[in-house]
Amino acid sequence: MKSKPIDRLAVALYGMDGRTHKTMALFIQGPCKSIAQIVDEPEANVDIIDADAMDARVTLDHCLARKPLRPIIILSLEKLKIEHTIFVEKPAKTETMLAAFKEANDWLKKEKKKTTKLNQTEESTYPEVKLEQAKVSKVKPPTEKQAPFELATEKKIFTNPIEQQKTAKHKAAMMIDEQNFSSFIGIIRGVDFNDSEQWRNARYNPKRYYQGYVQSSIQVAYEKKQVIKLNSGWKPLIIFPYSHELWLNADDQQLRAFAAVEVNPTPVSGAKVMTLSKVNPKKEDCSSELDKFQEMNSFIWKLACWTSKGRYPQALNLTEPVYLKQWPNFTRLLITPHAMRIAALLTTGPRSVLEIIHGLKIKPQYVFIFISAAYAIGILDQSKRLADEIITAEVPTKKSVKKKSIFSRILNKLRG
Amino acid sequence: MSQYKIIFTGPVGAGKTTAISSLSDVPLVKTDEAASDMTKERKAETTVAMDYGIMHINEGEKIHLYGTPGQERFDFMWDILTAGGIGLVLLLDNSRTDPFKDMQFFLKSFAGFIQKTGVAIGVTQMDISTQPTIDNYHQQLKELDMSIPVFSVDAREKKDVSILVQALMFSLDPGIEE
Repeated sequence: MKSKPIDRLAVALYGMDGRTHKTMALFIQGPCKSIAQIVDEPEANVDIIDADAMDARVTLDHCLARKPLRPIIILSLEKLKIEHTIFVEKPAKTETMLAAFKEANDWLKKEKKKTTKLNQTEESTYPEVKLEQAKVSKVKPPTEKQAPFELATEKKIFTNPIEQQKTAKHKAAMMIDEQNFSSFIGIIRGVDFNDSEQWRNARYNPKRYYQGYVQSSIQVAYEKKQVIKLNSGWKPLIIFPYSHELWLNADDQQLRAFAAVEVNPTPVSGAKVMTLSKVNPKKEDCSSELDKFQEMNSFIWKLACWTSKGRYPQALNLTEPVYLKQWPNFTRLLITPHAMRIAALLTTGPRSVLEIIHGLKIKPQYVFIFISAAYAIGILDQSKRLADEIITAEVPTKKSVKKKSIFSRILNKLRG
Repeated sequence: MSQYKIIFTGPVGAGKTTAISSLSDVPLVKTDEAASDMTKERKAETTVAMDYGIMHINEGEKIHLYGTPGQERFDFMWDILTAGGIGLVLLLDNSRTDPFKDMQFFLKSFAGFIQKTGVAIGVTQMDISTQPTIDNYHQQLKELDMSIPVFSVDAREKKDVSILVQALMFSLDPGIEE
């Protein structure tokens, strides 16, 4: 009798190094005839754990606690009998592996039946969430404790071919020089940056721009641990908190234009306010346009640059010191003029924005745009510590003139 | 004419040879051999002595790019290599079992040199292994009371390696004028 074909399973692997992971992927693809697909943990519906790995017990406990309804296949050299798991003895043979997948599939079907009714009710009643302006704040990526899908003891390895095609997020880095600053970033009218008295007027409130709404939505996605969509009346933006990615159906040129427009908080009657809605990632058609995925921080960084246009966020005070928690990941970011110098200076200690401008002898717009972007991704803040007052405006340097000169020539060479 | 060196270090397979090739103006002098020890599990060929490349920065003026052998049994060479160096580029392979342990090992091994100069860290293979994240590396460095550049790097991309070396230069002296 011909057995009924089973649905393609999405499996996550644990306790396997890169090599074993790849071998398992090939085994599933070949002898197991792609009955399952290896995916990132949040997308999986079956877990496979190598019980001979170190910390396998901890991993198993994690899996059982986190997703008690998800079937777990245990691979081991020793015969194991663990409740609520499916055992496969090593070396795994095709037949036993296929039988384990079938058992997992039956398990899932059974659970699905039980929960279908409940899910239908939940989906139909899920309300659209209106954004509250007061909630806008810096994006704070979750700590490991807040992100239950990431195991501290596990190394997450992507082998999902769809995931690997998302190359756009790795191409975010771009370096712009002083000559191209205005044309690429934009111009702020009404502020003469040559007059230091006017610098204080070069501030902006991110909450009044698309940037603020995006940041607020990201915060909600992290708090709710949920994939959500920002419906702005412009282009749909989908936020994936587990992979720290966004999907936006717009190119950079369109984003740059929209970023600069102030959003009316009280739209005229009939116009749509910005809302958030729950998203089922499997139903959203993101997979066909993988180039529209962007890494979260790279996206916020550039969005803040295009919103700032050389202004600084109004929450920061120009005369009080700011500090940088860490170097920005510059290979994946838009690098504005002197950004690396500013980062290098701030990692030596907190300084006020005015001190940075005078210390590095650069235009205020370059400092303002850097602090806007770094503040937006949560790596820069105003310092309130007493010790900060002893910091001087001088740029620390231990290097001889000769060395300075060689560093400078190396930079020129690297920048072509 | 003064001679300046930038040293590239890191574990086997982290991309030192590739990174030097990305920057070098001359064909790389490679000393790769078929691996015969535990290294062969990660890389069929490995650098047994050192890699060497040159970056021409002016007429007749050169920056020598040296890559240390990845295997620890060659660590006696590291002191010789770093003599006269202006900074260290540490490349870490994110897909290795414990990249933090690698980081600590190399930071400790080159502590004296780093103290006198500076270091920038490039993390490779992040497309294959997304964990740990760059933020995780910074958390580890904070425990060591170090604030240094750590970037995701594809050693094949000249731009990535270039940004890493630029950050090293600025961390040595933020006052350098662009």
